[in-house]
Amino acid sequence: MNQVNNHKIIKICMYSITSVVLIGCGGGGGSSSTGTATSQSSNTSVISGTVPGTLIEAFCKDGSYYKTNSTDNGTNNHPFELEIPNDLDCKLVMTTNEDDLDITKRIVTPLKLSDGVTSSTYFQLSENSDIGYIGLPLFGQGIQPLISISTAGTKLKINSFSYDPLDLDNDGIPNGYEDDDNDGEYNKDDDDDDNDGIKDSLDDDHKDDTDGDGIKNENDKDDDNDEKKDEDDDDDDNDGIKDIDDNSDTSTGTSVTLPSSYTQNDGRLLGSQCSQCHGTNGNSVNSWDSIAGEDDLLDEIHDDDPIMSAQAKGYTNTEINLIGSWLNTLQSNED
Amino acid sequence: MNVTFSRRSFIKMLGVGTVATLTPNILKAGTIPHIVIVGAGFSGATCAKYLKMWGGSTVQVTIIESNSTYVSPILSNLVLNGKKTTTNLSFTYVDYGNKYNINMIHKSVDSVDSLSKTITLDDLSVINYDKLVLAPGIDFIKTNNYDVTKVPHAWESGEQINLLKSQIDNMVDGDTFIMSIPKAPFRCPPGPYERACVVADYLKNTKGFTNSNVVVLDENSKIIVEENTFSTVFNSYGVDYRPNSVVTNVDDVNKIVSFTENNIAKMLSSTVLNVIPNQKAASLIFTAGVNSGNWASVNPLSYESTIKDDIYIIGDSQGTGQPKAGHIGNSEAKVCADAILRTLNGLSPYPSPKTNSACYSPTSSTEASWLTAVYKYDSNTKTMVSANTAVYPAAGSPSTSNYKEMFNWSGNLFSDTFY
Repeated sequence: MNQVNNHKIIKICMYSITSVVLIGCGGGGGSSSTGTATSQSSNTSVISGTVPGTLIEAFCKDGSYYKTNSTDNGTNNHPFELEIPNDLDCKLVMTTNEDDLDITKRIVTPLKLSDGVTSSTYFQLSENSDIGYIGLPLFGQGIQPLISISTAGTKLKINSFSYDPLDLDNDGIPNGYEDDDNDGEYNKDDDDDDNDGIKDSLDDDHKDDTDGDGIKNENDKDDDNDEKKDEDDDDDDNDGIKDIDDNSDTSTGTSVTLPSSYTQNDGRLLGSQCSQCHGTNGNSVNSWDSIAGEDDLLDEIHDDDPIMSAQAKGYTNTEINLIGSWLNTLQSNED
Repeated sequence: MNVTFSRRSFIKMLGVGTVATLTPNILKAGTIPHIVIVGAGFSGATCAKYLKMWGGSTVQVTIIESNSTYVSPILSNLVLNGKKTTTNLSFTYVDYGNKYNINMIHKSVDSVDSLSKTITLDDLSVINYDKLVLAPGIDFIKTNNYDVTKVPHAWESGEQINLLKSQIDNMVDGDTFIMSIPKAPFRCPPGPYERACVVADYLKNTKGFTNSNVVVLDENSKIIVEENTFSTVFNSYGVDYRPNSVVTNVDDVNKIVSFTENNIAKMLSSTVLNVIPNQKAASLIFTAGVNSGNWASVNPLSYESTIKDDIYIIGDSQGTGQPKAGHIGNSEAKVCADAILRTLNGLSPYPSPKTNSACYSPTSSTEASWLTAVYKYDSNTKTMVSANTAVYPAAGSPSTSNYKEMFNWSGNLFSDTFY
């Protein structure tokens, strides 16, 4: 990754405000401190920018899903980078207050992008692109009016669609963020979207689209939107039952190499205690993080959400270092 | 009693490929030791898997589990409010044979002979072991002889939980749900409180009842975990929580539960009585002669019985100062597996193992709380004690995001145990 401290590429921070006043946007000229990032492969690119402090989600037309959090760098402009496949139409939704335990207090803003000719919630990447500072509302609750961003100066391709499977009512809000039954739970969190008493996974109206994004499972590259593509996911519908056993899916399980001798390994024994929550050998089967290959356990383990830091207090630094050394030797399923 | 198969079918049953000398008590050089595990719930299943993951072809592992499908008690309270079914919570060990080369025998155990190091199954076949791991779970101490299909405890999953669910679904507005909680220690400390919340929410908010009540008769003197969380939720649903209430008799015909509340004799009647009896180790622990009081007494560094050599007890059946639950059963199993492997290789068990517990508890159809703890070995008391604070760290209050996280926790736990 290029460490470009002074910045930047293109001043994208002239955004055209078409729908809403941006509170707290503190002036453009965003101090995006990341410069041009390098993506992992030639098939993906990184979209970057800066935001007040935000969860950034991408919902893509093939049903896949990506997300990242912006990095708190101590300023009001937190950089983010999200790697997504090239030439794939995706929508962005940004959430501030994303850690608020009360979902209704989160401030959710879908983005609209315009290249001066076409305006759409979809964009396609062909190269790393920076969209500058996005002044998201910091007050209010729930779904906000769309914020429109100009992509002038970038090579983002903006396609507009009359039929949008990810937003069936064409109101700019992706299906997952609708609340069909008005029960205060977004469809993507609600396991009975239409409140008919039948859980979505059993409901004929919903069970063929597990994550409710609008793309049917048979076409959806990530049935449960847990960021693991189905071809890599042992539990496509995130119900805790491996696909191989799960009536609703028939993908195959993974194989394992058994050792031919026993080797004493204190770090492995201590570290096996992490598997109850992070999966066997540190490979999670859902959206909790995998820890295989972790190389900075001592910082990470104390830094995470309440239940992890409560657990972490039960281990000495010596133990954590032993565990970390072992984790470092493991192959992650997220590589 | 010692009816043995022919040598060939005996060996085939053990899954050992070649003819080997199977002489109990003497492990000849080059012989692959045979580890038998009885019970494949959270503890037994994890033990078998990790023995093979870490010991590989140096050990032969056989599981004896009478059920071919295991229904998880974890998340089973979500069956009661219709969020899950027992099918969703069923596991079949389908990976065990292929992936880990573990022999599965779906029979029950009749007796254990620790001198000859053999077990006899219900079909009278005899199996030799070098190391025996018992993980048979719990048994109930009922106040009197009553029919648990009429007054289900639903403290084992599967048929029992479905029975309770259909009783709840047959309730009409005005009916009362009465649950009794046994004296600690019992399986899953937050479990009964969680169930009361889930049922109260279901009756009120899903079924829309306005005249139905949940009554909780708790033999303990107060809510034993997450006291703040559960009492707050109880108050919000109007749950009638009565501590110091000891069940003395259950009438399954007239659906009457007799109890004493602060030593005063009382009775309550309802269409649904969910009496959760007091608990002890499963009967096999007693017939094998490894119990001390109601639970198996073991060395927490290895889970080897303090009474009989080469027999290990893990999970709910043993008493070492740890709570009884699936997550920590999985945790103990790993310590046990490693200790067995070290012993077989002439090494001592790791002297300072850690185990942990964690549990997310739904308090309604949309919210959950959590608690977690880490345990360390105390060489003075030879038990496991809390490694961080005196009180389990727990969620400040239930939330919808905890409810979502609950499935991440259970998903990885199920996967680490059964796959």
